[in-house]
Amino acid sequence: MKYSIINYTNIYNVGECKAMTEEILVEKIKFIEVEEQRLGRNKSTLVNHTYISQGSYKRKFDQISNNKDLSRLLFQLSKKMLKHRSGTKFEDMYWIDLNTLTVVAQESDSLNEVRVDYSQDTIKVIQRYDGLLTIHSHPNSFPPSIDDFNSNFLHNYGIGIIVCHDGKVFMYSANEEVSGNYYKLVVEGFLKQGYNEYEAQIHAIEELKRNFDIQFKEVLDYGSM
Amino acid sequence: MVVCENDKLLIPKKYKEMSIPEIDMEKKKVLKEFRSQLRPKKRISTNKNGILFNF
Repeated sequence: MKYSIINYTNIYNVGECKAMTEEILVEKIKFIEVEEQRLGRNKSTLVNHTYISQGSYKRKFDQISNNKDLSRLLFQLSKKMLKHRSGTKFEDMYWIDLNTLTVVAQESDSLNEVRVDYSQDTIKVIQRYDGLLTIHSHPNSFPPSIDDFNSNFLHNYGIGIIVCHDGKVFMYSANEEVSGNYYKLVVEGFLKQGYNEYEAQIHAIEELKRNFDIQFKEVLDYGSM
Repeated sequence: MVVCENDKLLIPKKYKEMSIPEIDMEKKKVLKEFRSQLRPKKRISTNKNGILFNF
């Protein structure tokens, strides 16, 4: 939350505020904002709860596959993850068996930012399955990382879905391993051309699609890009 | 088995210091090396529900 002198008076009593010089007040406001960031809250990763409850967001999940039950499940999990992780840089992840349309594993208590660590239970479960669908959240609202593509290939997952905190949805799959060094070079090339980090990663993935056997697209509420 | 998915992109310093032509040359070199290795492909059996994905 961005504090102003006005809403600061809601925390401290008005009389106390009047007694402070503006300089002291500004310092105290800065202190509160820093304290909030320390608690793991992050303003840039706040989720728009109204948007993710709307029909236009739900329709994105109808565009992913031809199965309505799967769309419903993905939409529900997506809302659950985004509500759980709103305002943080932590990620949640779920694994779905496409034969039974059930969640067979989940990681939702990670305390490492911008990554998903597999627990021993999850490792045991995913070794028993073939072609699982994975869905995980991206607090920075970036497209799939090189680790996401390679994990999809190495674990023999079917499809990966990413739900971003800003409402974007991506789907991807890798039928072969992708060179991490090649990807980093391509991203750096686009950064040097003046693209921002998000644009550079999107363009880099498009270039990967031409050189590797991978699939990727942003899911829109009215179908393909 | 890979046991984590790290979404943080860390570009090596040597790539950061390269010019665009140098990056293009390095890309070709890395791609050629990677392609020269035997790379297995993923094989997944179709699911019982016949679910198709709209790529």
